[in-house]
Amino acid sequence: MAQKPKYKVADMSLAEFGRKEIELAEHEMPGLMKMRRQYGTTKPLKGARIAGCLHMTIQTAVLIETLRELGAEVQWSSCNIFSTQDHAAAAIAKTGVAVYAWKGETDEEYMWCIEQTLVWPDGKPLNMILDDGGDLTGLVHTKFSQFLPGIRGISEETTTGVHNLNKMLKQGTLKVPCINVNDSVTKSKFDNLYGCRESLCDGIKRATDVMLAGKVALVAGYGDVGKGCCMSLRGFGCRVIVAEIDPINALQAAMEGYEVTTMEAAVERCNLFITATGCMSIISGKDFMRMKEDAIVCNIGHFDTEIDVAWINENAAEKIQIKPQVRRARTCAGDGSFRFCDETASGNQVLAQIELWCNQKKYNLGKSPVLERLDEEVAESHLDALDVKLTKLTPAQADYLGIPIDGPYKPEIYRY
Amino acid sequence: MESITPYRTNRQAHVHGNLRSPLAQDIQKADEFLRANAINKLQVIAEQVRRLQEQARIVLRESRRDMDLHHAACNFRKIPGTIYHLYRRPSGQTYFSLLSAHEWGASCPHEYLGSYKLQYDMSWTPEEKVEEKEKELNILNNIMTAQFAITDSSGPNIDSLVQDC
Repeated sequence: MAQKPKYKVADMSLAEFGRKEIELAEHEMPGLMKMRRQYGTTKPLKGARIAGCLHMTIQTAVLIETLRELGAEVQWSSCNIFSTQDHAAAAIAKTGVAVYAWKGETDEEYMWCIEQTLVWPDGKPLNMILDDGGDLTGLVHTKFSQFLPGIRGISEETTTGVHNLNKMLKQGTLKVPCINVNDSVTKSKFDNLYGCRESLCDGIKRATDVMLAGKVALVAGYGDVGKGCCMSLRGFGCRVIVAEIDPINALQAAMEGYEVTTMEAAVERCNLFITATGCMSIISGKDFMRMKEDAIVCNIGHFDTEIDVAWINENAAEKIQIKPQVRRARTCAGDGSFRFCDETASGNQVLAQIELWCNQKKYNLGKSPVLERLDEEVAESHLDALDVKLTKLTPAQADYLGIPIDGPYKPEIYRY
Repeated sequence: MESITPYRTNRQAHVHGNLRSPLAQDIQKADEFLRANAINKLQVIAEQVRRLQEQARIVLRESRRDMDLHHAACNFRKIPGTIYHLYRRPSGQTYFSLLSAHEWGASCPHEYLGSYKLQYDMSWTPEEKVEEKEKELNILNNIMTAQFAITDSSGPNIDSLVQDC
């Protein structure tokens, strides 16, 4: 390989601005800061050469600096060609981290960036993977399989990536132990539920400037995301209706006091439609025809298949662009995830990396969920900042319940 | 009526007959000098016109190239002062990349067309001419600085300008 550049970012003059934002973000990410205090002296990640492939944002910058503080050497690329915040990348590059990411990469440049993170300037290859979406994992398993024996573990952030790992495991091609950060309670129940609760209405208001109070809103899907959406809409004074296929979730919605009915039955009454199902064809042409004048339709699910946009394109009398992509309420109209919730995911990444690095022998080839104990540790690291006082079990109480004083407190089947 | 002595009345004949008086010679010399002089001056102007034409051609050519370069596909925001690298896909589409052909190494996916520095006036300078251009800009910058420095002086400032150049 030719001598690679020390880093590649769009504009180094943004570094100072990026640094200010990182400092602000640190206050919103108490979990990571606590981990720095807790593990900063023992440096449990000493010797780890982590190749990371995760949105190069301000929040990720705080994650990167935490990993370094814990002793790791880090090289970074972004897991999406558009999600890099150039000021975050510049600030991180300035600290001497080999980061290869800019907003607006081509597909080829994207792969080039990931490849740059595999080998260190002294010629040593990576020995840990921190991935989001599975592209880095995939690349190492196919084109650079000579590095596989040296890699102790993979921590994977998202549903898509985990899906991919499962596929590889089934085919027998997965060669490295993995921890699935996505399954942790402190990721799914926080990023999804509270993250969306905070960002849905923010996104709608930024995109449309409407007043929400008094409007009738239909939320399709009452999973973690849907629950967050319902809570925030109700908070603004909307009358919320839920559509759900699962009887358990439907009952949950009813017990929370929401009307539960079908799209078909409610479409004429609603001013606002939110899809949060992860499914396809939730709002179709016939629904659009029956909607009120000026109805607002938005999708907060991961993919844009929930709303039949093709039908609108074909049948709309006129289309006016208000802002680019005012169709995904969360990451496009609004400013994406909020730091506090994003951070619970980052905290899981850090602990997963420590766990895989230090206790490698414990992990067999294949995929493990984040351990309960790690989940509890991530949650606990946030309590101080929120001024939460935790009650301690007495030995007698612990004995009575048959659980250790320091956890894990719940059996594996417990659903939070 | 026909004259008997054409020599006296026909200067043409006079000259052609090589019987020049000093006066006539003076006039002829003056004519020749003036003509040569005018030609000299015209030559300079013609040279200037040629140069201006050539310059105009260069300006048009470069502005067209600059416009074309700005229309090449590019997903990132271009920052003045940075060198970008131009490639062509098999489809014929040209695009700018942050990566040089050297950085791509053997894995360079598309045809490399050249590298250009985006100037602060939004014009492009080919990479091989960047140094030259920078030198020129430095000189002009010095002139600007010198001008500002001597605006209070009442004397002519040509000397200092020429020296700076």
